[in-house]
Amino acid sequence: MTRNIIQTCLFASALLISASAVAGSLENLERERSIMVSHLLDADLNVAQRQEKIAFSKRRLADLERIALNDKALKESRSPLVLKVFKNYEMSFLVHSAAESGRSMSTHWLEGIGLSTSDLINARSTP
Amino acid sequence: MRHNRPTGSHRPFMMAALTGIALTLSGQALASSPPGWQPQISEKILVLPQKQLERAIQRDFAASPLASDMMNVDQQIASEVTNIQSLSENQHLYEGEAAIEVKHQVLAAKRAYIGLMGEQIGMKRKKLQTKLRLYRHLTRTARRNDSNLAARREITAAIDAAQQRAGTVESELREELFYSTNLPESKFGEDYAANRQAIESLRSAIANHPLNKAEGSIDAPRNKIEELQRLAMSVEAQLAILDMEDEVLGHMAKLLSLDAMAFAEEVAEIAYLSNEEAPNDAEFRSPAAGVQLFVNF
Repeated sequence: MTRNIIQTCLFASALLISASAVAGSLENLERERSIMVSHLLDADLNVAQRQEKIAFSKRRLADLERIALNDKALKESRSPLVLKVFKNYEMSFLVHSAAESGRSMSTHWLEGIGLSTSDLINARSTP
Repeated sequence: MRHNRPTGSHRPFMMAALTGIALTLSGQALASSPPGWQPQISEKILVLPQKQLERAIQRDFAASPLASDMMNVDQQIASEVTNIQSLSENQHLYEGEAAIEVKHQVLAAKRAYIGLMGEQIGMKRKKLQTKLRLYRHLTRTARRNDSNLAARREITAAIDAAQQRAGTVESELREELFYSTNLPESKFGEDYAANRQAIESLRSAIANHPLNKAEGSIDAPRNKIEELQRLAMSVEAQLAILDMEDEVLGHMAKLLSLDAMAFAEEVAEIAYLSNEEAPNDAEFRSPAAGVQLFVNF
């Protein structure tokens, strides 16, 4: 009985370790992306502060996107998460896809989640 | 009807004797079997392009005992051919018994040539059959690898597509980052750009390398499995040619046996003509000639 429990624990820990090893570059990218989005949505920041923070985030995101795009370990992975990230290029690789579309990163992200500039203006004018 | 079956006490002795005979025979068979070609090549050669793969297999064969045997037999065949040619060219210079001796030597040399050629064809067949088995084994391995890859193919395709998209905007992105963020480029960004440039130039050098030039024909194989199947097909074609060579050798042997029969008749005719008197038909006694022996008793 005890042996079975130990074996199950070892198996589970092995799975968790391998999953985290595979998803390292994507995890870092996702963390930085969420930081950037939090800056974008932070109501306490003024325009200059937001721009400055987003500029730092953008530079880091560009590097992390490059790392994830060239991570050979991801090609060996069979995780559906990895597939989903790369299939959803527009929202996963914000800096690169914003450069491709010729828009700012913030506009690109907001439009990606279905919020256009006119939507936002309309939302503000609605009582 | 009664059968004489071995009794229970005799059976172990018979079994032991039969086993002994079988072992002895198999031992003899093993001892007499000529050294062959056991490919020592690794499955890693599957990553090589077709020409290099064929060369690697050829090198492996060249190091085998079968290759050295074939080389020896080939040299013997060449020497027999030279011998036959020189004898045939000088045949008209001889007369009488010397001419007969030369003819005999030509026939003997032709017989040796046919024997050696048969041996060579046997070894060629052995080589081709081993090569065919190797190609089939490699095809099975490639197919297995391919089915393993199929599961990852979707992810790989998605990553490749993303890399391609990102690659097209990389230089614009560098400029855009520089102007929009007003920040110095990170160390990683600088190194990445330098390495990327190096990788691109190396990739283009690899693509333009003469040994890596893809065959432009419309019939070029689409994947490794098709490539190996075509190689196996070419070996099978060579085996079919060997069958025809065997037939050619059979016709040569038949012609040689006719030559030998004609030669035997020629020798007999010469021997017949050399006798001063032709031998009379033997007159065998009839019982009538001996009648007197019985009557006068």
